[in-house]
Amino acid sequence: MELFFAGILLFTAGGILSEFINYRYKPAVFLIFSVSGTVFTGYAALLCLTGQCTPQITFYMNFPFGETGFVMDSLSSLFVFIFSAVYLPVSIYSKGYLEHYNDGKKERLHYICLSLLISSMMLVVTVTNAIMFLVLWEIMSLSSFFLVSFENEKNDVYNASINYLIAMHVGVVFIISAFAYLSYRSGGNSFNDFRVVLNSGKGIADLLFFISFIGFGTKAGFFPFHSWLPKAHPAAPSHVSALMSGLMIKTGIYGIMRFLTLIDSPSKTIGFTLLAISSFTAIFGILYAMNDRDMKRQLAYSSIENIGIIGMALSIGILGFAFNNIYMSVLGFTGAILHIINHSLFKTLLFLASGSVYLNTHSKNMESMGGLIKKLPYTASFFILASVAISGLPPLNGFISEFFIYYSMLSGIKTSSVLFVTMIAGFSLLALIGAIAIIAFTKSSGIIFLGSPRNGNTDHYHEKISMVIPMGIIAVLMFLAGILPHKVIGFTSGISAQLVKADTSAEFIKIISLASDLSIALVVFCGILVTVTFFRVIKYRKEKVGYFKTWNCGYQGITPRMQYTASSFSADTVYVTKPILFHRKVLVKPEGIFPGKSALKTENIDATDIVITFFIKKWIEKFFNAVSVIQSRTAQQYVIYVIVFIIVTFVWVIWIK
Amino acid sequence: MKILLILNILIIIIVPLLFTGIINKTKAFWGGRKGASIFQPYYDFIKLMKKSEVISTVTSPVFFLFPVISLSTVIFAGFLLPLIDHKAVISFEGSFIMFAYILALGKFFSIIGALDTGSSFEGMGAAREAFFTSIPEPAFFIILGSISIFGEINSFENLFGLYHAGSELSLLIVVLTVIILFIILLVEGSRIPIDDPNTHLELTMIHEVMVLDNSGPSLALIQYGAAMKMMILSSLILNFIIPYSAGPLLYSAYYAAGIIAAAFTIGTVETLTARFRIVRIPDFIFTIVGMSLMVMFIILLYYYGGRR
Repeated sequence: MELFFAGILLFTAGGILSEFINYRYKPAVFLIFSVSGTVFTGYAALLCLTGQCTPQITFYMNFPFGETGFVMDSLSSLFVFIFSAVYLPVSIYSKGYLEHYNDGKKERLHYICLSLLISSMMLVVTVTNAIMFLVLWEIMSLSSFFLVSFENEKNDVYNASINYLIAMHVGVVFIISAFAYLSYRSGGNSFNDFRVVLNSGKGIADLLFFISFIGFGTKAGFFPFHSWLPKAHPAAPSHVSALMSGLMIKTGIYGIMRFLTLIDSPSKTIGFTLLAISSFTAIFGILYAMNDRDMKRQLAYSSIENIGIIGMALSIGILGFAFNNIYMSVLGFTGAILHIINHSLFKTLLFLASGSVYLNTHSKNMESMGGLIKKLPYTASFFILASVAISGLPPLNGFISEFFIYYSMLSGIKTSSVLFVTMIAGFSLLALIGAIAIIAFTKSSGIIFLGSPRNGNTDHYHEKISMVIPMGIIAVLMFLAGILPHKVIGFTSGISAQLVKADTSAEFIKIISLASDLSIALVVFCGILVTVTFFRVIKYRKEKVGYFKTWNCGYQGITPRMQYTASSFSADTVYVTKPILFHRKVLVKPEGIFPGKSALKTENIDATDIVITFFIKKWIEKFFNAVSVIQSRTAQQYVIYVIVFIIVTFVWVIWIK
Repeated sequence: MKILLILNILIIIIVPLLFTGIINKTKAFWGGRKGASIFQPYYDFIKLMKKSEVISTVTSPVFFLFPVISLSTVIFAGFLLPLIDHKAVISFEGSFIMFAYILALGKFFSIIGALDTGSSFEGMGAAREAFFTSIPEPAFFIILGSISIFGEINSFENLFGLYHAGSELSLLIVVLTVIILFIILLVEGSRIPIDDPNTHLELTMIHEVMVLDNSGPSLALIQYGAAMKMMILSSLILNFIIPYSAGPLLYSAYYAAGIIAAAFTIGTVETLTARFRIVRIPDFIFTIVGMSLMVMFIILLYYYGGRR
C-alpha cells in the first residue's frame, strides 16, 4: 500500500516538475517519473493480488471528508494493476506522439493533466470514502477534459470536449444523489456504512443501483448515455483516447462492480435490466462501428460495444447469483473481469496504432487511406492483430473472455425456463455481435492498411521506433493473455469471491482446469498454423514467382480510386440495418443550363444525438424561455425580487414556525 | 484408441478432395455426362502445387498468409469435431464455441486477403462474404446452445451423446437441425443456390471472386481448405444422424455412407436449383434464424414442459 502511494506521488511529482522545466527536457523527465511510478503501483497491485500487502490505509481528514480509507482488495488491486500495465507503454508512446507538436506551447498543461488523470484513476478505484471518491472522480473528469481539448483551435475538437464536460457533469449528478441519499440514511461517508442502508429494504438497492448506474454508465458509455464517447475519442490525441477508452471508461465499470459488492443479494430486476441495457448497448455500438468511416470514431463505437459485452457478463453473474447458480455467477463475473483486462489491452493497441496512422496521414477518414502496410508495417501488423483480438477470434485474448461469457450463459440454461430463454437469446446476440465485429474490423484493417494508397503520395510516411515499441509490448501482453488464460484467471479468483460473497474456490478449480484445456487447444492450433506456414514458406522459396498487377477482368486503366471503399464494404449490412442506423444526406444538385457546383455529403448520425438535439434540447429551451419572463435587465426589478423574497421568508418563519 | 484418433486425423486430411470429386460426379450424372473421375480434384491439387505462382504487386504478406491461415483453421476445426468412435482429436467443454470462432478466424483472414489485392471485384466479394456468412452465426449458436441442455457438459462429444436418447420431439429437432446445418453448409461452402463456384461472371460471384488473384499453390490450398470445410460441416450434420450406440466399425460404415450421401445431396441440390439473385440471398439465409428459434422452442417444451 505504501508502495502504491509512492507510485502516485511519483506520477504527480513528474507532472508538476515537467511544468517548470525547459520544454526540451519535459518529455524525458515526465517519462522517467511515469515509468517509475507505474513500476511502483504495478508491483504494489501484484503484491496485493497475491495477498502479501496491508490492504487498507486510513487517513483522518478535516471536514467534509472525515475518515478516508484507501483499500487494495482484489477488485481495486486488479484495476490498479491493469492501469499500471497499460499506462507504462502509453506513456512511452506519448513521448513519441507529442514530439510532433513539440513547440513548448501546445503541451503546456498536457503532462500535468496526464499525470493527474492516471493518479486520480488509480485513487478512484482504491478510495472507500464517498466524498473523496466524488472529488477524485471530478479531478479525473476535468483532467481528461483538458486532455481531450488538446487541439482546441479546431472547432470540432472544441465542441467535442465541451460535450464531454457536460456529459460528465450530468452523469456525476446521479452519482452524487445516490451517495447523498446513502450518506444521509447511514450517517457515514464510507462505502461500508452504505452497505447497511442498501441491504435494509427490498426495493432500495434496486433504485439506488439504477440511479448510480446512470452516473457510472455515462462514464462507461452504456446506451443511451454514450453520446460523448464517439465525439471525444476522435477529438483527443491518440494516446489520450487510448487511456480514456482503454482505462478511464473502466472506472465506470469499477463503480458498478463496487456497488454490487455492497449489495448482499442483487435482485433479478437488476440482472435482467442490466442484461437488456447491455445487450442493446453492444448491438448498437457494433452496428455503428461497422458503419463508420472515421477510424477513431469506429474504435469509440467499438468501445461502447465492448462495454456492453462486459455489462452482459456482469448481469449473467448477477442472474446466476439471483437464481442460486453459483457456478454460472462465478463464470459470468470471471468473463466480465477478463473482458475488462482484454479490452484495455487491445483497444489501447488499436488507438495507438491509429495514432501512428494519423501522424502520417493527418486524416481520420478511412476512405482516403489504403496500402499503408507497406510504409507502416509494424503499425499495420499490430492493428490487424488487435482487430483479430477485438473480434474475439482465437488464439488471442479477446476469444478467451468471449468464450467464458458464452460458457457462463450455457451453464445457466438448466436452471430455469426463464433463464433458458434469456441465456439463449444472449448467446445468439453475442454471436451476432461477433459476426458484425468481424465485418467492422476487416473493414478498418482492410481499407486502412491493405490495397493500394487511395490518396496519392505516401513516400514520406514513416513510423517511429518510440511508438512501435510500446505497441509491441501491448501486443506481447495480448498474446500471452490469450495463450495462457489460466494464469490470468488465477489472479481474478478473489474478485469473483468478493462479488459472489461466498467461497468460490471449488468453482474456481473447475474454471482454471477449463482454461488450461483451452490453452492446450490454442497451443495445438498455433502448432498447426506454424507447421502449415513452415511448409508453405519452404515451397515458396523453391517456386518461381512472377509479379504482375492485380487482375481486373481485363480492364487496363485502373486507378486506386476504383478500389472498394469503406462505405461500399459495409453497404450490404447497412442496407439491412437501415431502420436502426440514421444517415444525413446533403445533396447539392447541379442546376440550370450551365450546371455549377454539385456536392453530395453523407454522414452517419447517432440516434441518441437526434433525440438529444431534437427533443430534449427543445424542451430545455422551451422551459428556460418560459422562465425568462421573470428576467429583465433593470436593477430595480431585482431589488423588488429581493424584498419580496425577504418578506415571504419573514412571514413564513413567523406564521408557520 | 490412439489408432482411432490417427484415423480421424487422416480422414480430415485425405477425404476432403474426394468429397468435391463426388459432388462433381453427381452433377455430371444428373447432367447426363460421364464426368471426370472422382479423383480429379487430387490431380488438380497436385497440378496446382507444381505450378509457379503470380502475385500481384499491390499485395502485402497478408495475401500470402491468408490461404495458410484459413487452411490451418479448417484443419483445427476438424480436430474439434467428433468423428469415428465419437471421439474428437481435441475435446473440452464448450469446444463448439471454439469451432465456430476458429472458422471465423479463417474467414477474417480470407476477407482481408481479398481486400489486399486492391481489386474492386475482390472487395465486392469480400463484402458479400462478410455479410452473408454473418447471418447464420446466431442460428448456429441458437441450435447448438439449446441442444447443449441435454448434455451434462457442452463439449461436442457429449452434446450428441445425450441428445440421441430422445422421443418424437427429438426427431423433430433432428430434422430441423439437419436442414439448418445443411443451409449453413451451403452458405459457408459457397454452393448453389447461394453462390456458384463455377460461374464465369465476376459480378455475381461471392466466394470465388475473392480468390481471383490467387494462383498455383495458394489456389491449391484455398480449394483444399474449402473442400475440407464442406466435409467437416457435413460430418457435423452426420453426427446428428448416426446413432450414438454405433461402435467404431459400424460408425465408420455409417460415416462413409453418410459422407457419400451428403456429397450426393449437395450435387443434386446444385443440379435442381438455380442460383438466387444476390438480393434474394439474405432472405433465404434469414429463414434459418427463424428455424433455429423453432428448435429452441421445441427444446424449451421438451425440457421444461409441464414444470416451471
